[in-house]
Amino acid sequence: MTSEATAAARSNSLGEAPLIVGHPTDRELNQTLLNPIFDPHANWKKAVGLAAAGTGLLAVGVVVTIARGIGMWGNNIPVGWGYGIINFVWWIGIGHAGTLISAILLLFQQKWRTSINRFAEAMTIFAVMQAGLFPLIHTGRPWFAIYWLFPYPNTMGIWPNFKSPLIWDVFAVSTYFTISLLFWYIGLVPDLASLRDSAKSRVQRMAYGIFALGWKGSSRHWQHYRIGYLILAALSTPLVLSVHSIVSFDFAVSQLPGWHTTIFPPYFVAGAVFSGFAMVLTLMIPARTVLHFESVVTVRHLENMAKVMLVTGLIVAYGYGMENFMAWYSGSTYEAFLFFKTRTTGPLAPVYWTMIFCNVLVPQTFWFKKLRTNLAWLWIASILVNIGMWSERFVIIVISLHRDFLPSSWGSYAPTWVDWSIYAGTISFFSLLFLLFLRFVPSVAVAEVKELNHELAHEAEAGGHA
Amino acid sequence: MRALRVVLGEYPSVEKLYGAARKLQDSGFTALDFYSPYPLPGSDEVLRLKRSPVPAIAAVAGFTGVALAVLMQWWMNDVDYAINVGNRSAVPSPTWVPIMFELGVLLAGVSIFLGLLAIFRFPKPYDPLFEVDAFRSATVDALWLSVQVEPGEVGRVSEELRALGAAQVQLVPEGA
Repeated sequence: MTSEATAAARSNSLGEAPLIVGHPTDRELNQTLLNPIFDPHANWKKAVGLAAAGTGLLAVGVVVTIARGIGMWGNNIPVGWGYGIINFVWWIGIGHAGTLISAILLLFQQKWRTSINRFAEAMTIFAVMQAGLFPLIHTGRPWFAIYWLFPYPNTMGIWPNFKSPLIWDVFAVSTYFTISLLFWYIGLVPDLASLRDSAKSRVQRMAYGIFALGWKGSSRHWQHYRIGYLILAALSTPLVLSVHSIVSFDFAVSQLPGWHTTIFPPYFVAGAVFSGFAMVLTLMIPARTVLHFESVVTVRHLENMAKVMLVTGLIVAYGYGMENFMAWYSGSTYEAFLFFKTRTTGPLAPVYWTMIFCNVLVPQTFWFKKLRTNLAWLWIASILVNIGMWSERFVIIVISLHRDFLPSSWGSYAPTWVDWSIYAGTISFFSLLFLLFLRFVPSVAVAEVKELNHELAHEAEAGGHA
Repeated sequence: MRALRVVLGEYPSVEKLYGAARKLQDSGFTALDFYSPYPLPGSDEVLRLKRSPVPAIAAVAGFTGVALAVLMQWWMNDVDYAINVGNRSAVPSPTWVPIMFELGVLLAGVSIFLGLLAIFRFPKPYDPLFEVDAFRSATVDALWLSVQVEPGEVGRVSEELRALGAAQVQLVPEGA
């Protein structure tokens, strides 16, 4: 069979780009994918310095919040929930794409997940870490948070109220973080072993040797490993759906117009996946170029992510439509006022229209293959979607709260410099963790790419003989 | 009795690897293992491995988590310090479901991780096999076969591995 025939068999019948470019050997894949660790990029240190400086903002924001109190935030009455919860929901949502790629696409045997899953899982873990910060610091005195958040009785002997979605949230988010971390680490072990065995310096060999736990690729181990990995994927799949459903319950069980709606769980989950894929693209498009991963993270991967964004974006748009329909159909004056007056023409209306532009209009460009495969546009669109999804949470939280039933209790909301510092600080902290990840951990699942490479070669051969 | 020795052979293809394993099994050597950078399809059957206990471990831990969640919520909110919210029926409550699910998943997931560590006897950063320098390719691009033999049979088995197509044969140092 000629190499052209093999190449043709590697791209699919729709003429899409291949999943792995060329016919790399296992050793070449090892070389390409582990290279960023052995030969770091010249500007890595500068980038880390910048991210670390930004993380300083987070430290300042947190210290000011704890030292001087929650009054340093823009929260007020009636807008009792502000940036803290907006950012919490935004970050948690971003994390969801990682689990979707690593678990759900694994169960559906989608081969294109292989070269991006490690990357997306790391994003999940770091995003959930940022998200977790907000519930902790919003208590004002985090050292008391143990009996506000966890089942630990306070001095009066009262336990948390398990009928409250806020306590479900604590269980959902901490379970989500733990399971994502374990899933990620278990996936990493064979690659850490590969690093240990290709490392040149003794220090690297020992460090990766410790984290590889003694993995040697034994078939007797692979047997248990594969089944364990698969069950973890099967557990993560409903878990990821539960996490954002529970986050949405925080709002949906209340009676405020704009919150009190049964569409929230699916609409939140779709929005989470939508924003998460946007974040993967935001990070992946520059990283694949800088790290020279173009041969394993091809245009096909990026295009598929754009397709997922189109689908989830349409679900989100349907959610917006349905909310408006129900506001009209229910005949509730308050709902109608919120949806047709406050959101569209109120003092914070620009945020609403930003949301509509970024989340409804921008993804429509993904109907066109030209735009789906245009990396510059994909990157810009991914950032717009992240802005749009942040605006969505602002609309849901602040716009619903600032004008409720009684005009006498209306108010307004403006974030303070502390709100902005903490938000910008979490973005920097996230970037810092991500840069460390790219430098010290295999950012593409090497063992899985090798397996896929052999599968594709096998398929091409079988196709050639047929 | 003297300690068993481990002989390693590197094979250029999965077919040769499996072929060699089957021949060795026919000659009575059953303490075999393969080493590869990615999981090899069909290796379970060739090595005649038993079913993995991992699903059972996860199931037991998962249901334990669900049961713990029921007990915790019932005891904390209905027994130790009863909280009456809207006079809704206290036991059983549909509001228990989210935490039952979360704790079930949490315990199942953690048990898979700890279960794998226990089955593999990890962490074990040092292994005598790592004394063989060429064996480092097992996690990079090579397929290796290991067989445990009586010290007296090392020479004969090494010859056999070569005859069955091994690209190289290595003996794991004694007492290492």
